[in-house]
Amino acid sequence: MTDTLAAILGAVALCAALGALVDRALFAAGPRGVAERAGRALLLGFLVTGCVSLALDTLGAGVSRATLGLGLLAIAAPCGLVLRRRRASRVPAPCPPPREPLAGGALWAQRGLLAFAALSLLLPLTAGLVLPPFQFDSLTRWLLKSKALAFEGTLDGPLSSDSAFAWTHQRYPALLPHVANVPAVLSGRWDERAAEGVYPWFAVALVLVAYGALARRADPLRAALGAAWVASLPLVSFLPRPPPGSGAFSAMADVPLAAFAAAAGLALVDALDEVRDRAHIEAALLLAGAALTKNEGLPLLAGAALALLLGARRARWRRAAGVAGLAAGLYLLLWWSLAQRFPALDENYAGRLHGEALAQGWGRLRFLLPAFATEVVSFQRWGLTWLAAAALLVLGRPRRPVRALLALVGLQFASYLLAFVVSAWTSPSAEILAPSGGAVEYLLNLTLGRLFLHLAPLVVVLSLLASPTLHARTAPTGG
Amino acid sequence: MDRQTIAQAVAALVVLAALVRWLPPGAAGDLLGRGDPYELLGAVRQVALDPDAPQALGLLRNSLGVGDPRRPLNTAHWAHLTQRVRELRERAAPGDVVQLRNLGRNDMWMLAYDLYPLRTLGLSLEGGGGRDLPVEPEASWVLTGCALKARVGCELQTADDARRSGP
Repeated sequence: MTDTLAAILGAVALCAALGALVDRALFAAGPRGVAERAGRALLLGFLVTGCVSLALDTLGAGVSRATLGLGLLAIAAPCGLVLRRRRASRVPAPCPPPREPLAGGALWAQRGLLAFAALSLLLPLTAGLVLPPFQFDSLTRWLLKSKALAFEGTLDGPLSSDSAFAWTHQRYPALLPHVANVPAVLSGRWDERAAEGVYPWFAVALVLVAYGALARRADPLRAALGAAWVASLPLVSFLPRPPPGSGAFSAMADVPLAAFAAAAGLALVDALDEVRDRAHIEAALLLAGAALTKNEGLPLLAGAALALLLGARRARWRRAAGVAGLAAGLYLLLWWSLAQRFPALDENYAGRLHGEALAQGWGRLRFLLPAFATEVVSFQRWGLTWLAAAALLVLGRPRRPVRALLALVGLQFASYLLAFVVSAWTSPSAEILAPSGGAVEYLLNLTLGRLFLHLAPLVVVLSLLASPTLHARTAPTGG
Repeated sequence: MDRQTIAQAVAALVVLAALVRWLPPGAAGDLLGRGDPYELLGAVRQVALDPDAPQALGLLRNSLGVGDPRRPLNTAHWAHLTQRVRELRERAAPGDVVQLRNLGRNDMWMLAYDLYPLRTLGLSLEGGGGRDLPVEPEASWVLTGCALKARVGCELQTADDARRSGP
């Protein structure tokens, strides 16, 4: 257990240190609190480390301690030089604007909410360490790739590219397996709990980024509520259902995708508000992270372009094309060029986007639309998340950046609906349980909660940005 | 009531709804679905006390939730399989090839993960495979599953033994 913990913490610390360096070198401008800086360091660190590892594999260099070390150094060294030069020029860091301090009941509410958020995060972190990975998708999609990387140093090795080997979903993006391989690279041995133990840290990054962004743009009480709300979302905190094992504690990609989506959305809000430089680049990098995490991250690129077209004050087309193009370019270079060598075994949704599949699946809207609507109001699965977020958005009269981001959310949901319409998915269990061709209904039941999770943290943050302030009647609204 | 007061009420309801999920596990039916984590932690404790506890190990390989009618059957199935996997890991040499027979596609995918870096091969039940498939020339081991989960025990044989015993 001690070795496992050391491997996890070593990997997380390495990624966070690199992420902090990249963040300070590339996106230094703007006042940020400790929480936001820590969350960004974690998320950017996972992204950059995973991308370097992906690049090594795609280039055929293999992933080992030496190659990954050199690759990370190649990123860290120029970032260090930039920081050194900036320090020499003695440009003072911008100070955060003074905030009205909380007092009395509001202060206690803030403390209670932050304690609740911390406890909610402690659960998946502990569960990730204690429970062995067991969820079907965790093992067969994500951890098998990490295991192959740990043993073969590549996803394109003799065994993993063997067509007779029961190797599934080879074309699923592999950012997370590369990140989860870092403990094995550091310790020199495969330990499935160490690989699994990296995943809950995406939940930590998500909550810190959400809290920090709300504290900067809204107020401390809304920030604390946002942290508690996001941290206690089903599948983020260790109170999941169904299916077991899908939460932040297990090696599943849904919480990391939600983290990238929320962080990219917040960067887009900054970009639309033009409050800092390079927010567009940051959004593009985080969107690439989302696309490299799961296939479901790809429609976010179109959503981001739509949000910029709707919300930017100037150069709309150039910005939309720049952000979506940079993210798509990174995805194509880092993953698609390698993935093309693998067979497209299943879940090839892009290949089903044609008139015939649409015509065939159109009738599924009969059960898809009620299922989506039921999910929104399901207390068991979401508490009051979606209803409360909608209420806060209505109460708050959101400004243009938030409205533009809601268009992104809408487009993402529409893409999920479309995927169910055209899907040719089936599985042995579905055929047994739904022999009359109800495989998509079976899939819907398995995945809808996870799909909603991809957008839930972003929607929570947007609703709190738009909400009236919760503690002082005289303070202005933030969103 | 002004907008701020309504927003405060909404925020309070969100927190209350989140707190409800922390209540201890409910009775049969478990309306709020708090059962899985508690049951799993019990299994972890059991494995910590006895690393060979088959039922607990089976439960920890189960992706089906509390209340799913297939859960007990699947747990028993994986209780068998995890024992065979452990046996294989102890006995197999690097480079050995394991043929999987009479197993569903999903079970084969799970076993591919469990047994890696040993290479696994075989035809799934959905692909037309079954208990009677001949042993492949390159196989070193044959793991035959129980198609009707947990009704018949899984069997691990060396490839030579499997060839001798025939289909």
